[in-house]
Amino acid sequence: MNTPAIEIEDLTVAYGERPALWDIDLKVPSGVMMGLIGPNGAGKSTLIKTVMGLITPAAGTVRIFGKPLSETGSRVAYVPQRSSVDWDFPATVLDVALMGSFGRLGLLGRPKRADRQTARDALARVGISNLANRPVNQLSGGQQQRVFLARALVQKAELYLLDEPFQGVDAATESLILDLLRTIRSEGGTVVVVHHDLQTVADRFDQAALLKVKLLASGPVDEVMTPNLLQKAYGATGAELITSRVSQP
Amino acid sequence: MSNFPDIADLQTLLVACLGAVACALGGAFLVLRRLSLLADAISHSILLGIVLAWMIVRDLGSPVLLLGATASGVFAVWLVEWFQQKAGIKEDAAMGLVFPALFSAAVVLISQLAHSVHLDTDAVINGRLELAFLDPLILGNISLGPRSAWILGGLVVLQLILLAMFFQPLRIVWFDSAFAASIGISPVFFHWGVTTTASLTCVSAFDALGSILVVALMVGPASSALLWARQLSGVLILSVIFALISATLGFVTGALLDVSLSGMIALNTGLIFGLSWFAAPEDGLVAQWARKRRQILEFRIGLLLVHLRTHEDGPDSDEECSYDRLTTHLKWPESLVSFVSGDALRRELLTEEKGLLRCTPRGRDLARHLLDE
Amino acid sequence: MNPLIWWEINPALATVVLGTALLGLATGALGSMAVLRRNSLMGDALSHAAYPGLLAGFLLNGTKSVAMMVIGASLFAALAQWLTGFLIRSTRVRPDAALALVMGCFFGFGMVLQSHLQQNPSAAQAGLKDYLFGQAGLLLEEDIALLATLAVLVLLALFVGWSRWKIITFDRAHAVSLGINVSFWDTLYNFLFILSVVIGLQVAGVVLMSALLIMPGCAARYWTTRMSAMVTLAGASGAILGVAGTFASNELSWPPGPTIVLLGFSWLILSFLVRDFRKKRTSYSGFSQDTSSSLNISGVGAK
Repeated sequence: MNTPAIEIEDLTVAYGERPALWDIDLKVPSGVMMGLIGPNGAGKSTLIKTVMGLITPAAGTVRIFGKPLSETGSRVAYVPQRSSVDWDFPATVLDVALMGSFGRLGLLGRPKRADRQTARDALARVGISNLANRPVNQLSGGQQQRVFLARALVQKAELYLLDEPFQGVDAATESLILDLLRTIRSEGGTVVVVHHDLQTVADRFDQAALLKVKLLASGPVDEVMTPNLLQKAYGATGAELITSRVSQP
Repeated sequence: MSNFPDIADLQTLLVACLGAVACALGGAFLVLRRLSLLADAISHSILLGIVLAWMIVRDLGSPVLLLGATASGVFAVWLVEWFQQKAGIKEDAAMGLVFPALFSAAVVLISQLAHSVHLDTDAVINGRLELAFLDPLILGNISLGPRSAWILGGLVVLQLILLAMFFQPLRIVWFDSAFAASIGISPVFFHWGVTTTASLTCVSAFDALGSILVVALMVGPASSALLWARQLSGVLILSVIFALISATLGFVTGALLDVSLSGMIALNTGLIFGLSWFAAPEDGLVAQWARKRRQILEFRIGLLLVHLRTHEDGPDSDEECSYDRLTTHLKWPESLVSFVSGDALRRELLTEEKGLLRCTPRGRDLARHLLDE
Repeated sequence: MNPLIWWEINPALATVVLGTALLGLATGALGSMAVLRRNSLMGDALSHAAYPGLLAGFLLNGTKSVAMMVIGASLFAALAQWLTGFLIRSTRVRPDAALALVMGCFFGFGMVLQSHLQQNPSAAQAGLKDYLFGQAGLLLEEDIALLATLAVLVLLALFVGWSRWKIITFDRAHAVSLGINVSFWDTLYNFLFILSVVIGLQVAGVVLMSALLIMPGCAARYWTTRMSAMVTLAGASGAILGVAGTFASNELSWPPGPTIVLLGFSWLILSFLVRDFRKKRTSYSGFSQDTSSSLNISGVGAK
């Protein structure tokens, strides 16, 4: 049996008085593409950030490929929400993509010719090699998302954690991201995506985890996306709306 | 020291108190709008207006100087906004650029006019509170007390009138400017109105108090008041009270120790803020500490209950719910497990049976509540 | 021309020129990073907060010992920085108010110390007030040694920490996920920042220190779209502004600190105009849309 990509045990996270995550037990098998879904404030981003070690949990443990987070190095690539950085930053598209190579670089962190080539290849894979020398403050939303994705590809990680990558991007970028994530999975990578569009969950992911502070369900998509569970997460009316659309062919 | 509070001392105290109240009222609105540092920018920029106005009228006593200074304060704010909106510079950098530039221009001009004008740049920073009583307002043959007291007193009256006239619309604009605009109150008008008043305040006060004390008095009392009060009116009243206390305490200690009065007043605004920070009912450090301790215990009990509830019907309940195994599953040290479960047992949220912990109905309700089920 | 000959002709001026150049280099490079971190006003707050430390160092030692005063000022600046951060973290007090408050109170303490020192005048304290507005003209050769040390430290740290600081500045979360020790590099940055503010006080003074940190960086941003070029250009232009400002102040007999600041401001405006002109001429396909989108994002991203 493979070691799971992510193994979360008894995880609890609190912001001040309110618990953001309660007693989560979750295994993400390696080689799957999992959608992390739940209503607003369910703790989806918090869970990703805790797995990345950006938030210290109140209790519980996270293991990645069977190891604690401090030993995983750059095997995990994190793609934050686009709005989390200042795009006015003075850097070109290639500069940002190159940041992904940091884990492989020497003491001073200077990229070499091979790293540049890797970065250019990654930009080509996300379809923006023509923008390599474009300053990042001149990018559209979809292009920004592609740059983030290229940065993650350069990292050559085994586990990809993406926070709302489809948020506010154009249709072309959306399908490109999806294709890319599927390629990553077919090459043996594991992909976890914070996602809020319930109608597309079934098409896009093979596994899903339904979160509402507590983990309501996880596993194959059709086992998670049941009317019963959705109602528990989203309330009666919301679930009705969703299931009526989900059941459509 | 025998006749310590002589008439000059009382006059100085009066100037300090009036200046403090004027600054606190004007500053509260800046603090609420997260524009505290505009006080800094304005108070450093007004020197340029004074110098330029002096070059026109060639009279240090002319009211045109006040006008020029106020205008240059407003100009500084406008320049900060211009840099932000037209030149793509972030707010913090824009402020940090504008006031040194204007201040430098003033210092250079003064250095070139040194033989003809007596403007002490040092006094701009430090103020001359100690000397305020030497400059009385004289009407006919009668001395009416320090000129600064009249100016600052007039400013306080003006601010109170403006406040009485515009309190409601100001409150709406400051809370939600988009909503204010939608009901026909112009946020732009009030923004520049408050900026002009703040500039006027800096101008009137800096001569006596010095530009740094002006900043401290504009920001300090209002920040302290915000820790105690929730309503705008409460914030304003407390700001004034805190400003008066700072001025009085600062004056007394400064006079007794025979050191800079402005400096002591600034220190006292800090002291009052420090005390507020320590003792304020909700945001105070003591309250935070107590709340945190209580929360941690509640939180841990909740954690334990939720853990037990999640696993009590599961196949591994003997393992997950056993008292001895809790240290492993919750990653708590032994002592913590016994402390938390002891507290929960006392409050009848748990029962213990042969080393197995179980939720009582009340405990189960609490766990359910915590999970929002 | 051999600079050494020139040194012999006017050693006093040469010392000042060298000193302002070294300081401009260090503050320009470090300050441009502060601009990118949206922390530009920290320089102003720290220079005010360092003032009482400077005087306390003098008070404890009784003479104008540079080492004691630098240590005292650094301690106060570090305390102010920590206090500001703690205030923002632990209360509802906003960052702007916290900075203004700490700055005002620390400087108030400085005024108290200054007035106390003035009561027992001794010859050595004559120069103390110069820290308020800076007196580049009074730079001595031992000050040069201090400034040179600072410049070397800054350049060395930039060389070693460059790629890490770049990643941290752009995307802190990504830096953590790459395993970079963010708090270590933050501390190192703050240490150098405080050191340059404290050492720079003598040249630029309390009020004008912030301009020295911010102006070169802001101006450099108009010329380049890469962080490496921006920091390099900011350092270089900081040094050139120092040299040019010193010469200008010497020629015009203007006070040196304000002259450097005014020159820097002119350089900033010139840089902006050039950018504006080029932008209008080439009318970049995405520029107008880009500035609006970046403003929008900065609004969303701001906390």
